[in-house]
Amino acid sequence: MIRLSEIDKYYSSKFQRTFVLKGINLNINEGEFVSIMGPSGAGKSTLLNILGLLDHPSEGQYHLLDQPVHQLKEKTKTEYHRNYIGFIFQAYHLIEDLTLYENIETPLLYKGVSGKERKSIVADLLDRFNIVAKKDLFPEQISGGQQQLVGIARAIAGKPKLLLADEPTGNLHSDQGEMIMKLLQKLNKEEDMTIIQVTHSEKNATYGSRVIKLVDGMIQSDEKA
Amino acid sequence: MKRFFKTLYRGIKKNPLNSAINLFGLTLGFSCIITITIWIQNELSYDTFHENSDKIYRVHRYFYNPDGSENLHLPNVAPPVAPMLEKELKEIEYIARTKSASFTFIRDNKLTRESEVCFAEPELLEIFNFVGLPIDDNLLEEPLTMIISDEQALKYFNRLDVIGEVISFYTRDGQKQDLKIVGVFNKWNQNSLFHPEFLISFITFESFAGEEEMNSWGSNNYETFALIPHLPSDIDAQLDNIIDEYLEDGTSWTKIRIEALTDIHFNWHSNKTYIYVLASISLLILIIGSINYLNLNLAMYSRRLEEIKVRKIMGASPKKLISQLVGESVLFCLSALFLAAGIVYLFIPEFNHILGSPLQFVLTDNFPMIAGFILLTILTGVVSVLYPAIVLSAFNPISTRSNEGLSFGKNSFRTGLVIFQFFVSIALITSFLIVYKQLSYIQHKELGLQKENIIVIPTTPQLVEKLDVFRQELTSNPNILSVSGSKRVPSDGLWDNNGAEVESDGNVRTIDFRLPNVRVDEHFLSTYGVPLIAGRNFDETDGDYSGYLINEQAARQIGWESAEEAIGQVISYGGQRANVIGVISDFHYESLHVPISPIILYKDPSSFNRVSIRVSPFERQQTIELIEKTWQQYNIPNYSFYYEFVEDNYNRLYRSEQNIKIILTYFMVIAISIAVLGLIALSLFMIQRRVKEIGVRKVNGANTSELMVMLNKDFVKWVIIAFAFATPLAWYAMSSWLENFAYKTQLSWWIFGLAGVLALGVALLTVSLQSWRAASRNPVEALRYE
Ligand SMILES: Nc1ncnc2c1ncn2[C@@H]1O[C@H](COP(=O)(O)OP(=O)(O)OP(=O)(O)O)[C@@H](O)[C@H]1O
Ligand SMILES: [Mg+2]
Repeated sequence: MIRLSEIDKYYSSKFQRTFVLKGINLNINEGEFVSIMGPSGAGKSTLLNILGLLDHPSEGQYHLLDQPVHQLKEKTKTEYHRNYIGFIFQAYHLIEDLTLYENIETPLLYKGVSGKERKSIVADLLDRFNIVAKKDLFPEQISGGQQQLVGIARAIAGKPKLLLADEPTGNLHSDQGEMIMKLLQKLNKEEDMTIIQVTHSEKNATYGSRVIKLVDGMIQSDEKA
Repeated sequence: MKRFFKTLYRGIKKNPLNSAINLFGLTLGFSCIITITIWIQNELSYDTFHENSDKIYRVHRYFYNPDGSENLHLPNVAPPVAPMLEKELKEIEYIARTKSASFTFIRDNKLTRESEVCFAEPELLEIFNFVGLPIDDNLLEEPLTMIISDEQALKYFNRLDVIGEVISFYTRDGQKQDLKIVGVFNKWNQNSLFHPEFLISFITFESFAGEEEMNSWGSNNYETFALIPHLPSDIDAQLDNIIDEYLEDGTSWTKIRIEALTDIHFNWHSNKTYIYVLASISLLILIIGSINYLNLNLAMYSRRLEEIKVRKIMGASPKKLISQLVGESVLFCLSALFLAAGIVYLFIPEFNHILGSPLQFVLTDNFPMIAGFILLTILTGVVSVLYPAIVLSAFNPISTRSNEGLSFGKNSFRTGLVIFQFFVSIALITSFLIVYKQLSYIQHKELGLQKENIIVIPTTPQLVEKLDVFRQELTSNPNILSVSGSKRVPSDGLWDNNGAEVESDGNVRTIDFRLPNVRVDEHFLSTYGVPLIAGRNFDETDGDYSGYLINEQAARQIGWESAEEAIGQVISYGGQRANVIGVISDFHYESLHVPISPIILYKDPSSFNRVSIRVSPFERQQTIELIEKTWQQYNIPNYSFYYEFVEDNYNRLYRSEQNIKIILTYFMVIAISIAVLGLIALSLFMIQRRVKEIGVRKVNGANTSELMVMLNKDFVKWVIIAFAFATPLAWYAMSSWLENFAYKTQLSWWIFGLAGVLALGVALLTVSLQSWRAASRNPVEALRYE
């Protein structure tokens, strides 16, 4: 599903290039649940952003679903965001001016899903995550764990093939975190969703099937969990 | 205090763009206000420098139509009015008649044309302030004596002690006369209704004009001033009684009124409405500038919300917070005021140059004005910060939806402010477009005559006698097409009037409308290109008053069905009976402010003051030189020559409208640039607030154009609301402005549409620049760090 070859990412200043990622080669198959670990500043988020088409590599080739992403136009990238990729953030990134219901509905609007269908999908998700009663509240009015639940609901509302999560439990209590991890595992198993998460916690990594260690922009190890 | 300045300085340093925009808006706002204030002050300063300014009045005369409506209002009266009032109205301390004239003076064989010459009765010296005259009770009592200003004394004699010297002039019949100087006074340099340079004893004029003129109630050519220390409250009734006593059917057809000297400039030579409108617009501009200030302050504060939250929790008092904010704001506005004062100081000469105004920006003797401005500035500073300050200090730090009060787009108060800015801009754009359209309508309107390429020069009795030879000599040049003598020329007013009667089948019917006359020769129609519709033109064999031409309008108002019907009818005009020999097509003798008046034309060379010459558009300079050279040969040597183009005179009729257009253009550009800058800062702020949201939406599949629509939507909505309010206002204001014209352009709907589209275009362009940058940006940047 994902094929990275010789990916570099660097920032150029006047006199020098600072490499954030260097010579990354990586294949990820459909249905995998991959955890990326590594010290702060190692380039984990950068890698995830490149995988999610939010950022582009400086060098190298990236094939997603056998399409050469490095050659895609902006418009096609938007199509990928609409149909194939879901994102979960450490800081939840819910839209403050929208209710929980509307937040979950956002990707469906851009995808062009009909009103009736949207209603049933969102109602389904609210039900599944047990937040039906709160659907008309604003993000600020609920707890962090609940916000992250909404973030996940939003990310999977469009039924993405690939779910990317950057430290999804970083801001949560451990028991809330555990709940989220279980949820991701379930999505991976039951819906066959490919999941790539960045995490600092060894424990969280064990929910996945594969752990990639990133140090100084290079892959140090890549093994089964 | 030191800390206060430090905070202010840091605020500016942190937000240089916002501070610059604020400063720009406020400074321009204050500049407009200062300029307009100086202007109004100048307008109000006229004739206030006399010791008796508040006791001096000018005598006016009104005429009424048979149906009681006003026909004419003249600021001059007939010669018998002053003696009558002096006798009947005991409150009058002094009353003096004056008659202005222009003279060609001779001194040491040099001829100089002077236009500020005035015949005046001696009482004038008691009414107005004349400083420097010798103590002599008999000044201006003797015929052929005059007093002159110090400036003229220097000009003619190079010294000031010129009492006893003489300056000469030629009378109309070619006699040389001496005028003896009996006094020198200090020239009036202040703003004044008139600027006398030469005052000749009135008795001199009386002997020229003759007894008949001096007893005529019909010759309303005398500007008459009275000194009335205590004006009786029933003055109008008293004046009416006097008139009824002196004239048959008196007040049914004419009345006498007085007007305070200090009101005259404002009423007659200024335009009150324009001044009020311009004052309001400049105030609006200041408000627009303040709105920017208020909005951007709010934006900045909301960014500091977290900090303020913490401070509040730690126990900072709201009072101290408010006083810091208000202090900052007042100081900021004061610096804008100083900048504005500098700008006005630099700009005033340019302003005077464009508008031909005599404004001066003198601060030293203008304490009330300075105090007023400082007060206004403080008020501006306080008002524009009070709202954000109160919102900030009142908000509850532990409320859940914390920045509720400060989130944009939802807050109707601030939305209202932005809409107001658009509202003013759209109204100004609309007004500008309509003024522009009307002026171009005037420019291109067919006047019914050919105003281009006509040069007008003065004439003298000597030249009039030899006008035919003069004409022949000139027209032998191929660039000179036609030459015509007349009393006045088109684009002047129709000031000459007389009573008229129409005779039909032995019945004599008095014409009950004003039928002014135009005194011309047989070349007038060809020179001005006015078509003859019926009958014939004058010819060389016609004597004075031997036949009349009238225009279509006159024929129509007299009641003749067709032009042909008018031919051969008998009119008695000013007592002179003659046939109507021709009817000419209507043309605009006067400005387009007034409808075409009925006129009557006849030959009267003895009254001629002007010669109109139609020239070809080529080799104009040589042609003018030739005219001058030829003209000199037919006149007393060294007589001063001048010329003007009829077309320029016509354009001058719309000078105040042209000025309005210029000022409106400035105001519009200023208002729009303030609003646009405000919009830039505001949209920048609003979009910055939504950067994260934009990123999130992008990740969720929004494309750039969807995001731009989302970001621009609010602004479009605001412009539309503003448009809905501005259009009726502009429509109302501009249709009343157009009421000033008898001939006007249409208030087409597309003008309003265009103004709306322009405003929308400007707003969208401004906002889109920002929203495009935000929407097309890589979302990672927005989402990376929290
Ligand atoms: N725009 C940029 N310009 C220069 N350097 C950048 C830029 N963006 C990121 N970096 C650098 O790239 C490196 C990798 O950043 P990244 O966010 O991928 O690290 P990370 O592994 O996710 O760290 P953390 O665990 O703290 O989230 C960091 O050293 C960061 O300073
Ligand atoms: Mg990271």
